[in-house]
Amino acid sequence: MKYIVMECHGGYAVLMDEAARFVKAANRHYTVGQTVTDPILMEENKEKTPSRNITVIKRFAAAAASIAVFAGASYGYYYQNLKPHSSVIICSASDICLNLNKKGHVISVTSDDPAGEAIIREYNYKGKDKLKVAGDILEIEMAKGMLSSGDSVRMYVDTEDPENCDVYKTELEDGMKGLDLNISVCEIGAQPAVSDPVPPPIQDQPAPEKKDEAPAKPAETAGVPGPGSENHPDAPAPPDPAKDGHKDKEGPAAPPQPAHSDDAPAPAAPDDKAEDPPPPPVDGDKPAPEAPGEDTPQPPAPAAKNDDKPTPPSPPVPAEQGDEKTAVRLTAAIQPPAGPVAAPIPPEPNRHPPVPEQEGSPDNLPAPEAPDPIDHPVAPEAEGPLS
Amino acid sequence: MDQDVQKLIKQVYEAKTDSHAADELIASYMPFIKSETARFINRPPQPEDDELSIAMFAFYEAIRSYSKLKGSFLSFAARQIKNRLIDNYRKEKRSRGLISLDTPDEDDNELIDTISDSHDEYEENEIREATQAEIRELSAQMETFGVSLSDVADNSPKQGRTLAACQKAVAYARSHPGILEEFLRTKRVPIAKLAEGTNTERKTLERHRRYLVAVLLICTNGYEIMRGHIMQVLKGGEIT
Repeated sequence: MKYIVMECHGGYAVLMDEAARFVKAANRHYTVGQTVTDPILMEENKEKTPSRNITVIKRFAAAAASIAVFAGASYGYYYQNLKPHSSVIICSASDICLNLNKKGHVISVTSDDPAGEAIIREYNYKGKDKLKVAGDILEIEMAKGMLSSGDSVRMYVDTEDPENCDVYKTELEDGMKGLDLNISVCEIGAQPAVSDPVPPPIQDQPAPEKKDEAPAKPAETAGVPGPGSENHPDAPAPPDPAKDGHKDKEGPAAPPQPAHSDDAPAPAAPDDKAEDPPPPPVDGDKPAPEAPGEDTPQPPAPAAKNDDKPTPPSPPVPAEQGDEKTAVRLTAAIQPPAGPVAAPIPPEPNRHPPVPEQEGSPDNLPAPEAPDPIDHPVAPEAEGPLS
Repeated sequence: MDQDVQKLIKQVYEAKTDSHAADELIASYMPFIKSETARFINRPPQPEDDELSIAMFAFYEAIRSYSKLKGSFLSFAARQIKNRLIDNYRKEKRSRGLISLDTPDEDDNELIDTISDSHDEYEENEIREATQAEIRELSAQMETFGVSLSDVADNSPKQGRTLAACQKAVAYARSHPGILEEFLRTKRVPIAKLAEGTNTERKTLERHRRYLVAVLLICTNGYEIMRGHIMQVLKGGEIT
């Protein structure tokens, strides 16, 4: 492209190209009006301006970083101050649960008891330490007459950190010493270390009258002691409902003597074969065929005493099915009734004579010499569920 | 010392917009420019050396692009001069295999003397003088509009799209003699009419008003050589 030199200065010259562009170039000894072809043009002032995309990205990054910092700070505050980390349950006249944050300050107080709710409504617990709140609650209860001096109060600590649990236990035990109460602190689910003569009022607790009605003898004979039957026969169940339920289930699992005698298989041999009872079935073994035969002892017919009616043959039930049926009957007899723990029904002395002890059989299998032809015509295998 | 630095910075900022101040600053710092050139070519520069012209041009570029944030002006100018000389050296290196017309042969005759010259030197001188006369006339007429050629060079459109819009406006004015007459009479660029007639953004034309002044003046009578130089554009041809 050709340029006309329009103006000359010491450091530069103004040129005009064929596109009517005016440019500045190095003055290489040009004269005005000269036509040049290869000038050294001035470079454009390249001011680096950040592109719009980079600016937008920077703004987004700044906003995201701000949000992240704010979220982190918020979560940190929530984790330290607002998130419940542990709880202390005061089992006194009014069951009150203190929810604590990580610092051990009370963040909320709940109670299912109306008296406890009334105390919570009147008391401002926010921001206070657990010791202060627990002490105040107990003092309020004492002031209201719900507790008296020397009463026992149990506290349960529930926390995620076992070290915290020990610390809280120590703090609570030390902090409550000023009160004239018998206070014991333990981890939730654990057996209290100190026996408490006054049980906490638990609604689902069985009535004491029913306990008295329940004979202790069958439980002992069953070999499985009931809850607290050995050390603390009258001790209440711990407040852990799961544990209670577990113990309730285990208690009646011991087959009471009457039930045992009811479902016990009667000797299948008639009177003439009484001296030759069939061998007791072994676990896992198939029982002897039920079909009546010459060698097979006949099950005692309920109408054996009634000579008019023929003895009904035992139904050809398979051994396993018979086991299942027996197990169902036993389970039904073992299952505790809903609600309070039911005491085992005492045996009827006239219908169920006491079964002689069989020391040789660990499973307490019925003796073949003790037939009960009236109520139990067929029950050859019974040790399975009992064992 | 600080006062000298502050004075230099003040002169530099003044020379950014004033071409005369720039010339004075360049003249006053010619020893510095020569020393930087000598450092590069390893000899004292002569006035006819291209390197010295390029160094002076680099100094002017440094004046235009200097900012206080870039540190000392002289250091910045020295770096600018060095970079320009390196660029020129690389450019010359590319054509180093070519034989110069000034190379003497065995009989001490230069090569250029052996080539038949079709150019008529007298005719060229006449054309150059006529062009100079036109440029002087144009400069004088531009002064009445308050515009110098340096201003026009600074205000010339850089982007092709903007240049095309301005050329479209100039072509529209040439096709409407009334607009040129109004321009000469009022000494104001009829931006509104040009923008309306060419469907061009008024803001675009407004930003390049001084450039339009120069080109519209060239389009009027009396500047035949310059008009012939840019005839391709005035006819609406492609810009290369």
